Amino acid sequence: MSAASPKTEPLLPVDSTAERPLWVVLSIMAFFAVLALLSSRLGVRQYDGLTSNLAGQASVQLTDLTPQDRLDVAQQALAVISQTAPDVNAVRMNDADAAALLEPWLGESISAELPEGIALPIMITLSDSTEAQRNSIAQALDAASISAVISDHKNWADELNRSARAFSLGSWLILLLTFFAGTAASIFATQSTMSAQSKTISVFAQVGAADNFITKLFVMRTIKVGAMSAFIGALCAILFLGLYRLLRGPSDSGLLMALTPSVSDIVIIIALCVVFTVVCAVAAGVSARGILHKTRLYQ
Amino acid sequence: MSTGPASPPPPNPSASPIQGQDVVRFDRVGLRYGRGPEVLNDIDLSLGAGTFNFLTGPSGAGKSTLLRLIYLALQPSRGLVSLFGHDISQRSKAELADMRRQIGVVWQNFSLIDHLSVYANVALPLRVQGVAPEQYDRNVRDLLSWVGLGERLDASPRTLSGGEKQRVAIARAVIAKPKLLIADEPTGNVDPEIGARLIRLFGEMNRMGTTVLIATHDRELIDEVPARVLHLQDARLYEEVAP
Repeated sequence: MSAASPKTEPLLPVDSTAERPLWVVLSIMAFFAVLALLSSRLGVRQYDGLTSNLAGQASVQLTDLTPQDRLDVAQQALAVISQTAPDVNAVRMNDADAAALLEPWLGESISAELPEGIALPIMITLSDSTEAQRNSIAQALDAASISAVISDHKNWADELNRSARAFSLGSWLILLLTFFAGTAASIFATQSTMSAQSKTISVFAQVGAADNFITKLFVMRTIKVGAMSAFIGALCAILFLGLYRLLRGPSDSGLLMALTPSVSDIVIIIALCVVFTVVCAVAAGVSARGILHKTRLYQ
Repeated sequence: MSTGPASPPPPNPSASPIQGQDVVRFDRVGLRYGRGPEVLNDIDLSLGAGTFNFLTGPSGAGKSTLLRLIYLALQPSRGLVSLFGHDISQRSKAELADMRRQIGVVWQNFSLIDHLSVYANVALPLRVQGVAPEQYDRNVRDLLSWVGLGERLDASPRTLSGGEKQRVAIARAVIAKPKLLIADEPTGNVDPEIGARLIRLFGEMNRMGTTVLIATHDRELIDEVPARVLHLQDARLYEEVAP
């Protein structure tokens, strides 16, 4: 021991074998907490992105066509739209894209060769259109005897909204559950450590340590374990997503790809780690305090 | 209230109190474990401030139990226990902790903390009181040198002999300059030279105002040191009277 600088040893034993399971459990909790948090943000982000793309968008589906007249009717419809709403950008979708778009509603046969006499509906996309313009276009097409259905994707947007909310809510529930699990693990670890260190605690009390002093020891210990575990769990989650992106390549557009954290996500993950640590520390403090409260004298 | 070299105990129940000066005061204190018989019965005791006292008696008489009542590790089944003029039953947990800080205890089993070094064990009462390491560092080193452990600061208590552990326990008990020093067989595991040095230390602390209570079987020690002698036998406390 150096004579110059007095060493302050931790009063509770550190790096004991019994502490390792707690590190592992809290790290796993933090790992899932980060994934849940990113999932929740993904839900909101995806919904915002899609609704933003859908804003002002509409599609006109020309029906009751025959193979012979479908192209002429499409030209006629485009002319009607152009005259009725010159500001609206109307573009005819190519047949392959139209078939792909209609496939979920009309079945796979739409993409295959159609029976004789049945024509593939024509799809026209409208950009930057208002509801009033869409109503005018519908009336004009009807007046021109063109059978058409105009959709502003509202139903789809509503469905997206519901899905995004459900996804986000589920993610928050998972996040909440991981916090509960982290709390329970902290309480259990505190109780088992206090039980294992009962002789030490008794000596602390006998030399005059108040309950607050002893409680603080357990809180500080949990802060250290909780913070390190949260950091490890968060790092593992980020590495997991990075590795996934690396293996699947940048062209992949799967759900996990969308989970790749941005800078703002990193800030939120750090805040999550802090909150996770605080929750664990509070749980440890309340637990230690409760146990000490039951004991007035120490033997 | 101190006496000269002691004689075998006559049946002279209870020590007479020193009114207003008592560091420890027991009034008709009894203690029983569960539904068993009373291990301490109608104990009246007063330890005046600045006195030096021995507690003796046969093995199993309850000396350690009486000490545990004094250092607030046990609660009496009946009777009144006062420390530093305060009825302990009326004190909060925080106040009891404050009282414990004024009591230095040398346990018979030493009660050292194995995961702390010798230095940290001795410094523990000061850390608990919130004293900065820079303030106690010199005192801890000096005291450990004085008890012959100046080269074992970093050692784990696990690696110490019984005598060395006892010296660490004594150093821890006195480091915070307590008002009351309680020792349970403090010279039981040390050689006579170290034993004499430790008793000198207790005497020195007593001269500075610390009340000392030593439980011991060592008749030679009791005979050598002029002090009041309390004798515990058959669950009752007697005061030995000098011949």
